[in-house]
Amino acid sequence: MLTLNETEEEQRFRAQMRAWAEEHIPEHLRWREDFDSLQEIDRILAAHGLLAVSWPAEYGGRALSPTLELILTEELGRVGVQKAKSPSHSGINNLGPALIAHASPEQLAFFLPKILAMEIKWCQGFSEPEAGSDLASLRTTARLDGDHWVVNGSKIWTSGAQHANWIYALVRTGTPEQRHRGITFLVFEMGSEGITFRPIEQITGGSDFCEVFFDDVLVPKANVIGEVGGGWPVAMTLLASERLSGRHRYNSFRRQYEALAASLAGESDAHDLHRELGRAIAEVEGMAALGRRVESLREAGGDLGALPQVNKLWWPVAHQRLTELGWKVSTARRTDPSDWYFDWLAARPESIYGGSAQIQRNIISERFLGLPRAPRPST
Amino acid sequence: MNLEYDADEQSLLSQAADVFRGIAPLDAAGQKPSVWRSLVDAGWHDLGADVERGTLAAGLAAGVFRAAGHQLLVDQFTSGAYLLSALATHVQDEPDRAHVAAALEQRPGVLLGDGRGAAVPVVDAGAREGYCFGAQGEIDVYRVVDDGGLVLARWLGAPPRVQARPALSPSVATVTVDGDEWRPMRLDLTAGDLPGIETTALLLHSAALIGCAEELLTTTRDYALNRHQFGAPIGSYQAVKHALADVYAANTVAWNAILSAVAEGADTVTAPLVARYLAVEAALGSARAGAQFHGGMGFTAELTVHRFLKTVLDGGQRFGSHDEFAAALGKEMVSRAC
Repeated sequence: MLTLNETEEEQRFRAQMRAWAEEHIPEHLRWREDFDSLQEIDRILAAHGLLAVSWPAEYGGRALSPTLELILTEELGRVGVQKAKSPSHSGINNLGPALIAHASPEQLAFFLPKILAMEIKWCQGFSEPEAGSDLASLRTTARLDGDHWVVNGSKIWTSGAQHANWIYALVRTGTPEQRHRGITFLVFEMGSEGITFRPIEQITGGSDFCEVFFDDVLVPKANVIGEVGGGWPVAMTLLASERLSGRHRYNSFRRQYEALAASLAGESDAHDLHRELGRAIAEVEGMAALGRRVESLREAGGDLGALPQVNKLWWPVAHQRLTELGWKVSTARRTDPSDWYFDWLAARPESIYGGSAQIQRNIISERFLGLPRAPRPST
Repeated sequence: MNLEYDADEQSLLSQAADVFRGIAPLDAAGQKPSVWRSLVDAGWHDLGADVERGTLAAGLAAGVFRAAGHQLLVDQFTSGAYLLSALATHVQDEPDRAHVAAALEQRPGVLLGDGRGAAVPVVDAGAREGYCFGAQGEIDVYRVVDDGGLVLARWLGAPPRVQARPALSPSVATVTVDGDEWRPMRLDLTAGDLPGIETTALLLHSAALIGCAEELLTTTRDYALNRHQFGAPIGSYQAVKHALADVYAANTVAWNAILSAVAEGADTVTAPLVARYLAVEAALGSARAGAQFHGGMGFTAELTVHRFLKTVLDGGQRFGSHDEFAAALGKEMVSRAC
């Protein structure tokens, strides 16, 4: 029987989490997106063991089912906690599952407790100035010299580099011709000698990400996750988690469309606007339906197939259309469009980070529709 | 929460897909003659309601209709058939199940009333004429009367007049009856049950439409693999493959929206509106891509792709324009926000 109804255990958990969130998330931290507020919320969650709820118990998690994890996310979302934007998200939701899948027992024992205690805040060193969507062409090198890797090169679009004390990075340990088979997944401290970074000013006025430079940075030989030259599968595990992150954002998008709907109150004959609003809502709710299916499949241990790629392709476009509609309605109503203007700008990178929309289309068309790779220009 | 079919349900869906796949292929005119008889013979004419297998839950019925859509059977069922199948998912006990089964047993039924409205007016005691999709050959005519409780009435008079609409699709027709020769079958339902029945019909049809859209995507993918230009399959060019990936994504999202809408505990007002809008939008997207990427061949009647296109165009407007469903969703959310 297909059902959205929750089991008694799930209902109890939701009631507990709702009460907990109301009691422990202070009003002044709700719906805030600045780093200090988000970090403060992370600390509250960590103190109550609610940061890495899906991790296995042996690693300090609570081994919650995907559904219970989603319930927690939804209840936190109700009080304005956007977990996808929290400083802990990269370590808990993205790197954590990749470490658990690929790291050595010693590495797990070292890193996971520190991530849980928020002693380590991570940033991600994947993209480079000449390696964006074509990630496998990255040029940052790591050369083994005695007990250390010597890292040289640069990374870009590194979110939160100015706040992070560790970085996980893809580096080339093989030849460029080896493409993804010559890439290694390294972790090292941002305070290492030879690392500098430059915040990049965004179109929204903020500087959420940086360019990071490595100049003969020494990294202990043991800081490889997985095999030397085997960093690509680790990165793919990590990106698979990242591509499911839309489910963390639904509450915030729903709040936006409800605000837009409220702004149309009293306009019962605004048929065209109702239609446009309905389209935008349907697309956001389509994202929610995908999220429910992902949770259902994870709960049943089923194969997610193309759902991560479809999700990453769908939700940014749905959000971008919603923010554009909000901006249009706001300007047409001659009300202050500032918030929607900002949201429109802020939604632009959503279809780029975590694997651009074009990359998702490549994966869907080649892996799931069986279409051939694009002809490559002869060199 | 569970949105997965269990092993028994998957087995039944697989059985349905096998039966539908074996139904007579398209003839030269792009029709599937005698499909209804074939379905009756195979025991699958009732789709959502089968006496031996037991009445299917709406969620499972949606899977059956999706499988029917894959085999281009969407418009072989009239709007009335969808409504009757939906009715069947709502009745639990005898004699209602027998009544509905009897209504479905012979030929596709036309339920009188204007099937174009966003809310299908199945209660229309005075109706003599119905605008319907899927009326081909001999048909049965039904209407639902609210007589303090719902009465399903079957037309027993002279054969109805079926006049094809001057549309490109052969499946659109006006059906007219004269006289007052109805055989009533009283159901243990009231007019208050109708919105739920109509919603189920809407979702079953949406499931069939998505099945059709998925098959159309497969057909287009196959063409893009086999058609070579500039020395390579056209499906290797990003202009083509990315557009098909978008169609795949839209179909996937729409199917999952349908699953969410037919599941127990769904919001019975907004979830069907979301699912219907997304399903029609996805199906139209499949049609546009199918027509474009078949090149000139997509504009001919020589490939079956034109049947998919017409099925989607007809089907997308059955039960009302999807834009109207979007407007209804927007209006509902505005009223909830107040």
